[in-house]
Amino acid sequence: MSTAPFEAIHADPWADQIVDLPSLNADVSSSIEDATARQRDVARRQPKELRSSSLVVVGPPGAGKTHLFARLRQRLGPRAVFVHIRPLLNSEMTARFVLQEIARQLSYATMGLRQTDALVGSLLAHLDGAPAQFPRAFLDDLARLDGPERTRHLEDALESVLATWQDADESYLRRLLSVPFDAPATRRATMAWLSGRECDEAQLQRVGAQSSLQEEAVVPALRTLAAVASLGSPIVIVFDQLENLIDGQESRSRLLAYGNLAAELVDSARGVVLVHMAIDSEWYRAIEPALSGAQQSRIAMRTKALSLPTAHEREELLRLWSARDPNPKAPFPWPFGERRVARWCSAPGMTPRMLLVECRSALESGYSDDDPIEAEREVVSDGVPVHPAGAGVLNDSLADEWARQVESARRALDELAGQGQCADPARLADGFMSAAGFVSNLTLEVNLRATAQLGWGTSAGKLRMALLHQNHPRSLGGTLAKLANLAEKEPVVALRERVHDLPPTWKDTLAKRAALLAQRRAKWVFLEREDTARLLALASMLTAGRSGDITDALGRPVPLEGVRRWVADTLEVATWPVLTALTEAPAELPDQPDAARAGPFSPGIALGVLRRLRVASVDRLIREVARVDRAATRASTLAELELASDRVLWIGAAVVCMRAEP
Amino acid sequence: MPKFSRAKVPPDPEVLVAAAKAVIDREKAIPRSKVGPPSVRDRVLDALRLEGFEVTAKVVRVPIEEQLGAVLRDGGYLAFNTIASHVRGATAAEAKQVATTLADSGRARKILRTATETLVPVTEDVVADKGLAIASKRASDLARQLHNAARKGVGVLRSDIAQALDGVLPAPSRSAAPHRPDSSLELDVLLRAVDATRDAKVGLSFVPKVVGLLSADFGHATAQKALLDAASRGLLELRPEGGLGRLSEAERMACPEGPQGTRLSWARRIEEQG
Repeated sequence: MSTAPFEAIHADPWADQIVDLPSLNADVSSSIEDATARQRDVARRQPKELRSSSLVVVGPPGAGKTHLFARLRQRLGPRAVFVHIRPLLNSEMTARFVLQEIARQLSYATMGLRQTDALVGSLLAHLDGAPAQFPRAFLDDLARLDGPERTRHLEDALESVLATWQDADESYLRRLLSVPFDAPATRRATMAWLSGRECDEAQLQRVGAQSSLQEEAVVPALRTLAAVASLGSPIVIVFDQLENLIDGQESRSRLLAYGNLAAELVDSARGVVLVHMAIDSEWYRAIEPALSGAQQSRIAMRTKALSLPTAHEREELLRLWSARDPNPKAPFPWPFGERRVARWCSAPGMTPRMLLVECRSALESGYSDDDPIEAEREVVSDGVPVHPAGAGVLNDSLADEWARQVESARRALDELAGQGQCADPARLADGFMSAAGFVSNLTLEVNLRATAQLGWGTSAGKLRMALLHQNHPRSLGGTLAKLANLAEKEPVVALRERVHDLPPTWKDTLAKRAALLAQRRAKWVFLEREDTARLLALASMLTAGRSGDITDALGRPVPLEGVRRWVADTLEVATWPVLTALTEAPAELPDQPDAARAGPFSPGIALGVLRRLRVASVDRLIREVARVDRAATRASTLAELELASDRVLWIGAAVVCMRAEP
Repeated sequence: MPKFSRAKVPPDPEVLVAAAKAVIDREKAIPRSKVGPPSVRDRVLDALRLEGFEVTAKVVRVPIEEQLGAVLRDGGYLAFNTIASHVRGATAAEAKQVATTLADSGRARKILRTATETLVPVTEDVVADKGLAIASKRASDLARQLHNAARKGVGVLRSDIAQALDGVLPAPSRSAAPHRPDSSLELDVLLRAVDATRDAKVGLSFVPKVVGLLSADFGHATAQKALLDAASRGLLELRPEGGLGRLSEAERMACPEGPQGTRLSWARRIEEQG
C-alpha cells in the first residue's frame, strides 16, 4: 500500500473530503450542533431572548480539534456558517480582526455552496416562509426575478429583520443581502466593505458608500451579522490553537485582550456560537487562570475534553484508513499486520495523529509486524527529536513545512491582491515580531493602534515603522501627514507593499509622501511580495510549532525550540532585505520614490517600473520612472530600455512591455 | 605625611560563594547586597543560582518549596495565616503560593483546623471529599436529634451520644497506615485517587496529583503501573502531555511514559464518556 493516504497528518479545516469516525467524540460534536440548532430555534421563536453560546474544547495535540471543525462543516453544511480563527502570534486580537476573518471566510465554500449564499439564502428563505435548508435554490429563484421585484423582496426582508432587531445596522444588512446577486467585481468590493477593511475609491463607488466601515461601526456590524445569521445559518466562530496567546514572559496582556474580546462577542454578538480550542495542559495551567472570573464565566459556559480513541475506535479508524487503498491485496488488517494493529490498539495515550504516524512509519519501513519499530527512535538530550537517519531528515521535514507555509502565504496574498487589499497589518506585524526574534541587534514593540505600528530598537537607535495598508488615497494621505509630523521628532520608516504602490492619479497623496520624504529622518521602503510571504510564513510556522503541529519524518511533534533553531540556522532572517533596510542609511535605499534625496540616476529602475506596469506607453513609463528617481531623464530611460532590448518588447514606437520570462 | 593609596585586591568570587552558602545553610537566606561587592555580585549570584538557590530581587534563599518541605517531612503542620514565619527570605504571599502548589500537586494536604487553613504532610489521616460529606451528615443528624430532645424538654442517654459521636467519622483510610510502600495497589484505591483529583468541569485528573496521593503508600512505580493496568483494562484513558514545558521535572517523572516519547499526564474515567 502506498503511504499517500497518510501523508497529511494534520487536519485541513477546509478540506472537502475527510475520513471520519462519527462515534469518536460524538458528544462534543453534538454539543456544538445542539448549540447551533438552539440559536436558530430561539432566534425564530423568541428573538428578544437570543443569547450567545460559548464552549471550550480541550485536548492534547493530534486529538482531533481541527478535525472536529472539518467534521462539523461537513455535517451541518449550509445550516451553519463556520469561521476558523487562529490567534495572532504577537498582537492582540480585536473586534475588527474578527469581523475581517468572518467576512473573508464567508467567501469559502462548503459542499460547493459559498457561505455567504448559505447565510443570505437561508435567511431570506426563512423570512419568506420557504424551507431554509435549500438556500441555493431559493437564491436561484430570486435571481430569476426582474430587478425591481427582487429589490422589493430584499427590502421586505430588511424591514422584517429591523422590526425584530431595531439595533441592527441597516446599511450593513442591506449590502449583505445584496451580495449573492451582485456582479463579481461588485461582490468583491462589497465583501471588502463588509469586512471592515479599507476600500479604495473604485470599491466605494461600486458599493455606493462614502467611506469604509468606521471603528465605531465594527461591533454593530458583528451584532447584525450574528443576529441575522441565527435565523438561518448561525455563525460558529472557532478560535483554534489558543495556546499561542501565552506570552513567553510573565505578560498576560494578549490573554486578557482575548478574554475581553471573547466576552464582548458573547455580550454583543448574540446568536453566535463561540468555540475555544486549546491544548488541555495549556488551557488549565496557563490560559484559564489568566482570565478574570467574568471572562471565565462567559467563555467557558461549558468545557469539553476530547476523548482519545478507545481500542475499538482505533481499530475502526485503521479500517477506514486502509479502505482508502483502491486495490487492497488482502483484507484488513492488511497492510499493517495483526500483531501491529493489536499493539497500536492497546497502547495507552494514542491520539489519532499518533496512529496515523504509526501507519505511515510502518508502511515506509516495510518491516514485518513483529519488528519493534519504536526501538529505532531516539531523542537527543535537549528534547529535540532526531530521526534515526540523522538530523538531516529532521531538517528536510522542517524545510518541507517551510515551503508549505510560504506557498500558503503566497496564496493568501494572491487572494488579497485579487480583492485589491494589502496584507493585514496585524498579520504583518506578527511576521515582523517573529523575525525580530532572530536578529540579535533588533528589538520590536507593536502597537497596532498607533500611526507607526512598529517601534524598532536598532544598534543605531530607535525608529518607528508604519505599515501602510490603506487603500484610500485620503486615509493614506492622512497617515502620511501624521508620519511627517512624527519624523520631525524621530526616525520613521514608511513601509508599503510594492504591488500596492501609489498610482500617479493620487496626486495629493503623492505630494504628502514627498513632504514626508523631505524630512531628514524619514525613509520609504517597498515590501516585495516574496518578503511579505516570508514574514507571514514565519509567523504561521512558529504558531504551528507552538501548537505541536509541526512534526518530524516520524510524525513526532518538533518542539518549538527545535523549529526556532532550524529557522535561525537555515533562513538567515537577519539578511532579509526588509530587515537590513532598517539599519541602512536613507540614501542607501534603492527604493526611495522621492528623488529629493536620491543620488544620481540609478540604472535598473526603468525595468523595475516596467515590470510592475507590464505594458505602458513610453511617455507614461518616463513619467513613472521620474517619480521614482527624479534624476532620471527621457534619454536615460530610453537608453536603459535599449540596453535591455532582450527583455523589452516594443509595440510600435510608442508602447513598450516586458518580454515573457524564459 | 604623604597618603598612600592602598592597592585593592580583587575579591575572589569562589570565596564569596562559599561564604554565602555557609550563611544560607545556617539562615536559609541572605540579602543580595551581602553576597559580595557590586563588581562581582552578578557572578556570585549566578553561581548561587546554579547551586539551586532562588535568587530574587532582594535575597538569595533556599527554595521556598524546600523550606516548607523540610517542615512537613518533620511532621510539622503549617497554618496558612502564619506560614511566612516558617520560611526565610520570602513574603507571606510567596509562601502561601508555594504552599498552595504543594497541595495542588498532591505533595501535601490542605485542611481546615477550626477556622484556619493548614498544610499537613500527605501521610496524615485526613477526612475529605465523600468522607467529609458522610461525617457532616452524621454530625448534623446528631445535632438535630439533640435539638429535638431539647425542644421537647427530654434527655438523651450519654452512651447514645457517645456511640453516635464514635460513628461520625468514617473508617480510617489506608493513608493512615504506617508509611511503608506497598507493592500491590488495588483498583478501587487507584480509582478513588483519580476521582479525588478530578477537575469537576471536564472530568480530567492530573496524573502527578494521582501519583502524589498514592506514592506515599505505594511508591511511584507501583502507582504508575496501576495506572497503566487500569488503562489497558479500558477503565482509564491516559492522555499525553501537550503543554509547552509545563511539567516540572518531578511532575514529568510522576507521569508514565506514553507513545512516541510522550508523557501521560492526564487521566479520565472511561465510563464517564458520552
